Amino acid sequence: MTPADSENRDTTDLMVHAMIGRLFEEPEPTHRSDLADGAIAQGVAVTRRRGFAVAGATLSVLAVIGGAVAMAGGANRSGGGGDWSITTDSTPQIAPQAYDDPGPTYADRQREIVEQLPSVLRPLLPAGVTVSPNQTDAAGGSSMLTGDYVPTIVLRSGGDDYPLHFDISDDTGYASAFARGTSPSIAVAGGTIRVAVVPSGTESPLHGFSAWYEFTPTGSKQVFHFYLYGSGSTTPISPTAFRKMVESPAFAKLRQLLDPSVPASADAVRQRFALEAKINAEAQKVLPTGFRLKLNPGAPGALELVGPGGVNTFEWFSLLGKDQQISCPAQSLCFAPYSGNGIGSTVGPDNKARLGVYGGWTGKSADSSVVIHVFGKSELGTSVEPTQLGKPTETAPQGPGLTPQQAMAIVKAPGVAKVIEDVSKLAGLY
Amino acid sequence: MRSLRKGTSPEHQEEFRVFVTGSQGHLRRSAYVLCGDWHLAEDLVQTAYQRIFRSWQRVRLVDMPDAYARRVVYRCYLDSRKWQRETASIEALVDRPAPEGDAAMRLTILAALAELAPRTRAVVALRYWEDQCVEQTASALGMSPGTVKSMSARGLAQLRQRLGAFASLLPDSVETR
Repeated sequence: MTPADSENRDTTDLMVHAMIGRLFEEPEPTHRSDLADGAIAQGVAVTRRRGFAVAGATLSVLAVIGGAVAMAGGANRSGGGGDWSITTDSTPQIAPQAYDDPGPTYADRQREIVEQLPSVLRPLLPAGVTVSPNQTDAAGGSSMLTGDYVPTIVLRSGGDDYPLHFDISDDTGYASAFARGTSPSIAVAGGTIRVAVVPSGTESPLHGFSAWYEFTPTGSKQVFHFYLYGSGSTTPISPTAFRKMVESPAFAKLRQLLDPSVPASADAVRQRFALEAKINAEAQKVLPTGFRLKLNPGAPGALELVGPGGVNTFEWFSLLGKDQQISCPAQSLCFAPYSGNGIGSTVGPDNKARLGVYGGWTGKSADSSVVIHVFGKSELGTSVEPTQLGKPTETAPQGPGLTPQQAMAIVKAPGVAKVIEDVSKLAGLY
Repeated sequence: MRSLRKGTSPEHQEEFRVFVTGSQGHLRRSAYVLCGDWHLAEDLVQTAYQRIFRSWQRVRLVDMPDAYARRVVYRCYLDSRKWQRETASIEALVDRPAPEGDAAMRLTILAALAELAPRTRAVVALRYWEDQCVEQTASALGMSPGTVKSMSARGLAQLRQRLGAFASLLPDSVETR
């Protein structure tokens, strides 16, 4: 609010503001000092489970070491007290076909884009600039507000890496970047281009450069744009290089690949079914009877848990080593209805299905745990659970989540950490 | 070589820490107005920061990250049943030794705020504590300007009614622009 606006506030505004302000006339209690570090730790954990880095890794579908044992109807467990055997009905209450997504999905198309992007982009880049998959961010990211997946690729030039985001929305600030008035519109064959570059060190000593590129075809409202950043002094794609890019005959193929109105091919659908078969060959070793995994149709790289009563968004990850471990008593299962505030408190074997976060130790030592996120179907918004973030395209009925017994069966399944790692590699897009 | 993992490069983490240091005081107080409990307010702000960090690569580029963070706090409050369920209730607030003077006034204000419906409370907080205009409030909460106006009027009327002996803290009639 400007000073002029402030002067014009009426009496009501001032009185209500002052009344609420009375709440802060007493000293505030001592606060936590680790808000930033807590958020960073949680954010890193989310990044890890959204997609494990696969740089240099070989996709492994080998049998789980240690002798995998199906946990169906698992044996009684003494941990945490009570009867941990699974007694819930595993008979499907919904036709299996309800989960099959026989047609092309949003996630199918994004997987196809990620696979083809390097070969389509490579011939358009300036000399000396190479392209590689974004191996350090296996699942990419989705906009919190639209659910649009952002295909990302890495350009390499002069020993530096530059992430390049092909985002449809304005999340990376195209409008404000071009509104700064230093980006003239340049006529090119077939339309106009604009390039906005914030050089290294301009906004902050910590920032590298940021660059926004836009091509507006003549007679079309479908703007093509991408965003590039890096730690070098400036962008490896100059305005002149961008002009050559959009005027190249091969540019049409890139636009076609990234056109959001183009559905996935039939081959992409077939590949998805084949991938789900591989995923379940692993997952069945640790999931309770009646459960399987499928790829989330609205969130590329994300999984869903299909159970007898419906489908839920699903993430799982194993924590190895003593750093960043869960806080849960030995031989117990812990549960929290929301993520982001620890693993909650212990939960007993009550056979009640829940949506939320389960966590427990895989063995007796406190250096190996498994955390399971099971929530409702994908939806959008700034405050949905990260596990749920995605386009709400799932048409199958929503499931009730997992019971403590079912979650415990997964946590305690022999070789579960290896299964989680292998499944994550299979589901990741890079 | 620069780390490429979103939001997790050392530079970005340091940048995020600076942002948290500068914004946490105000966000805590905003969250306290919404939920009436300092511990819950910190949980709410912590959750909001976690969500913001996950998108820090994008948030750091927006013109007003503080405004974005405030919006996330309000959305977290409205979208999550937890904060609303655990918001300090009027019963809990009055079930204490009778306070006197300023303490009594503060508890009465908290109790009056606690009786507002969550969306109405968020509207009142944004409009009058955060000094946001009707349109800004509507945008932040995803509702129409007309709804903001009606909720503002209704909320202030309810507050005045429930302030009891402290009703003079508010004007006799409320204006909503």
